[in-house]
Amino acid sequence: MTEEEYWFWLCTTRNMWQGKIDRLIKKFMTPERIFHAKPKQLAETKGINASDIKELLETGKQRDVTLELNKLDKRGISFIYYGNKLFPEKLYNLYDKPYGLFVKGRLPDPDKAAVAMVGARECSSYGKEIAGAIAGQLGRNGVQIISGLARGIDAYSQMGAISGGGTCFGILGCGIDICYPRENIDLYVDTIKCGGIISEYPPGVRPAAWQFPHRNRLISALCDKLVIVEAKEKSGSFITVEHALEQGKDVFAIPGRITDPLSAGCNRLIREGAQILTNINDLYGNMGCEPSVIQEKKMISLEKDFEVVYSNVDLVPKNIGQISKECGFNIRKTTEILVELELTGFIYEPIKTYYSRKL
Amino acid sequence: MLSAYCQIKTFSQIKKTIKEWCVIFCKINSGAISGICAYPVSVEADIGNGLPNFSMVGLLSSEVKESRERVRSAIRNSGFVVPPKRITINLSPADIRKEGSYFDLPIAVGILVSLGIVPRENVQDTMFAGELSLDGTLKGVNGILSITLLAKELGIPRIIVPQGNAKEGAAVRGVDVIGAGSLKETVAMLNNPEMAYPEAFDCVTSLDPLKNEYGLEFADICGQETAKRAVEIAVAGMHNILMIGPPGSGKSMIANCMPTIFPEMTYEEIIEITRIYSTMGLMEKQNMIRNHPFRAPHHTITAQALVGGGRIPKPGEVTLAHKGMLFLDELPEYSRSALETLRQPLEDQKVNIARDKASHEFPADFMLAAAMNPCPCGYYPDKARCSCTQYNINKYSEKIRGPLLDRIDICIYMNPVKINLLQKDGRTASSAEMKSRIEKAREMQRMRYEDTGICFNSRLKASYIKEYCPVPENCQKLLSDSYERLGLSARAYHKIVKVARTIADLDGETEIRREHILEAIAYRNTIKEKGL
Repeated sequence: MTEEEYWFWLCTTRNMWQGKIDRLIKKFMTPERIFHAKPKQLAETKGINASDIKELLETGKQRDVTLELNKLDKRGISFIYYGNKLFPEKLYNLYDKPYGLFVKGRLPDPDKAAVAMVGARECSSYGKEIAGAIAGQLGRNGVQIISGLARGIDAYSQMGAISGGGTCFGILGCGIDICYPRENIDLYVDTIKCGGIISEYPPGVRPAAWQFPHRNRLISALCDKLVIVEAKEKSGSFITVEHALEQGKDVFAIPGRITDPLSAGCNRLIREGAQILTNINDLYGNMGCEPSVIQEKKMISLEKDFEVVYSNVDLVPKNIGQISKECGFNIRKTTEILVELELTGFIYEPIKTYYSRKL
Repeated sequence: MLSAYCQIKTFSQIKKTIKEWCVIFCKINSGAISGICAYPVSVEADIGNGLPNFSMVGLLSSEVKESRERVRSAIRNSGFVVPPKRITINLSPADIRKEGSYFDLPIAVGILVSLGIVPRENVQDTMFAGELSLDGTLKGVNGILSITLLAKELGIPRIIVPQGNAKEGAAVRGVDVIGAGSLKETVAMLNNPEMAYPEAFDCVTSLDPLKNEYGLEFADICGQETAKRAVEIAVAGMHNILMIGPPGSGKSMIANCMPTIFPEMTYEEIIEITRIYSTMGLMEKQNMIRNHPFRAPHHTITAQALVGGGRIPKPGEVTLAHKGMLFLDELPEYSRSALETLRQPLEDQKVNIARDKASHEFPADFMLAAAMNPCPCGYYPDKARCSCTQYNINKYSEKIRGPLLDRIDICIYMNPVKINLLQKDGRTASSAEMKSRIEKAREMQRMRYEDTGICFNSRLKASYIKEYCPVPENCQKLLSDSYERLGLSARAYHKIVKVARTIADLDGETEIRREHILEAIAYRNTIKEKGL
């Protein structure tokens, strides 16, 4: 068996999670030695119980690892083990590093800057718009976007990056061949084309609640900077933030209104010392990457009435009735101007009869 | 038979009376209801010699069979004598099952004619319908309007109905409707034609002016200007409308106000709607239905109750909402099967119900107004309060299937009104103002579609759109722009043009202008493309 096959055998043994592999490797140094170890030697390792030994030595040795690897290869999944030249450098120093990665597509380019964007799953349309806009611009400037392919901010960031023509990567908390959540299937396919999907879990592993916070350490480890777009007071995004701080990464938070529960977490991060992200250029510093395309701010002068209506449209969606009250026009006139503005692309309609500015 | 014997004391008396009775056959015009239409039934009475017996034939349901007892008692209690003869009643055509209590009066009159109490020629050009009480008084029945219409169709110049139904029947122009209080009175009128005077009643002129019986009107609604504008457009062109909003945003209140802005009904509409309500027994002591129907069935309604059904098909809520409005509150809560059945009526403005005995067609030309919450908890997109996942929200909107959404032209989202707006004494359009604008818009539509059989912009088929709603050159680009920018479908395009036509009608414009299209775009239904 080759080194790759030994690693593959170890990483895909049932119930052989990162912690157990870590202890075994610390004791035996290589998977080959684990393969040839005596049951008694294995049993001395902390955390390895009888059923694990059975899985490793009895069931495990009957497996045709070469065939399994070939099958994976045919499905477009590559296996990258610890020590392989492709294994991301950024993960070597992780104390709870994964020993094997399953990749569909490709791995992030270590020479290019990478920004991780995470946030609330149930995000607001403000968060959606911001995430899409930032990811889109970063993508256009060659910055790789890393996220978790979850609902909400994660998905909108990746969509933004893809529509901006950039690369993006999704780190999964389940087997690489499972698209969770299912509604992201289009994004899953697009991400493979425009970057890659990465998971430390063997193919076929069902999503489980504990796996998602665990994979967050990979999101923060693979990036140079972490951006929290929207987070509630209690949010899973803070796990990513903690990992990022341990790993010495810059953490940026997007401020929100103090009344928005979805921005409470971000505002707290800022108070506790996270960097405030008010301008996308803040992100480019120290990353070895400067914005190649400096976006000229659109300065199109609008007609007076249009200007009045536009100035009353916010990033937070507003009802036609409210806008008409604020700008003093009647409903009909306001509606007409709003649709004109929508058609010219200044604003959009996130919810029926609600309008919001486009970034 | 016993009762007839009891009145006649001695054998000689019997002999004498029998001689006097002229034993004849006679035929009386009547009608019965099937679905909401009446069909002619002739009641034949024959009194002959033989064992005393009273038999009825002609495929009768039990309520018709029981009429034998009512008729016998009613004749006796009206002061006439039923002889101990063989009485046979036949209701023809014999192959249609007869239901209802319309036949008591024609049967009684038939017997009396056969007995020679009423001259045969006096009943020839008359139709009869009504239920008898044992004491001979006449009681009102359902569906008199349909039967009167049948009389008009058959060219029968006069109809005798129970007093309580006389006004309803008299709404039909061209038939003399005579109301009778009892069998005795009927006989008196038949024997002395000068006593029978037709009910003088015209449903348009004879009734008091309409009052707002809903108790609510649009002037009472503060804020929600967007919704009010959308509703005005919807009613003007009979466009189906969907209101989305969290609990307490006033969806139901707006819907309850909507009947107040429907234009006054025409004579034809009054007759059409009253006919349906009368056959269903829903007149509730009114003589005529003069307001556009407003039906708001609960969401537990079955498919049969919604579109009509039953072994003997009865009209459902869509037919009761004919020429009016059907309001479905909490739309996703309705059963899938019930909502699916709405497809045909929304497309064809009628319902076909086929059963093994017959197939019925009921009119269902209504405007659908629906209301729903944006998500299961009701507060989306207010993320501070909404606890639903995007998955659940999508699931919720998927409960309303595409074909139904395709038939909804206007969609609005409503937000709860802020308290300061409720307190502010702002001037807002009243129902009367909106109604007068709508009436003008309807008039324009009537003139435009005069010979096509179409009444409203929303009923235009795609083939007519080019002809009746031409989009001027300068607006074509606007539409193609929005087609690209907003991802409109071809169907949405037609809907926008139709709604724009209605907005132009509200403005009194003969040509669709840019602002009309812009407004129509704002109110378009985007659920299918974008979700909630």
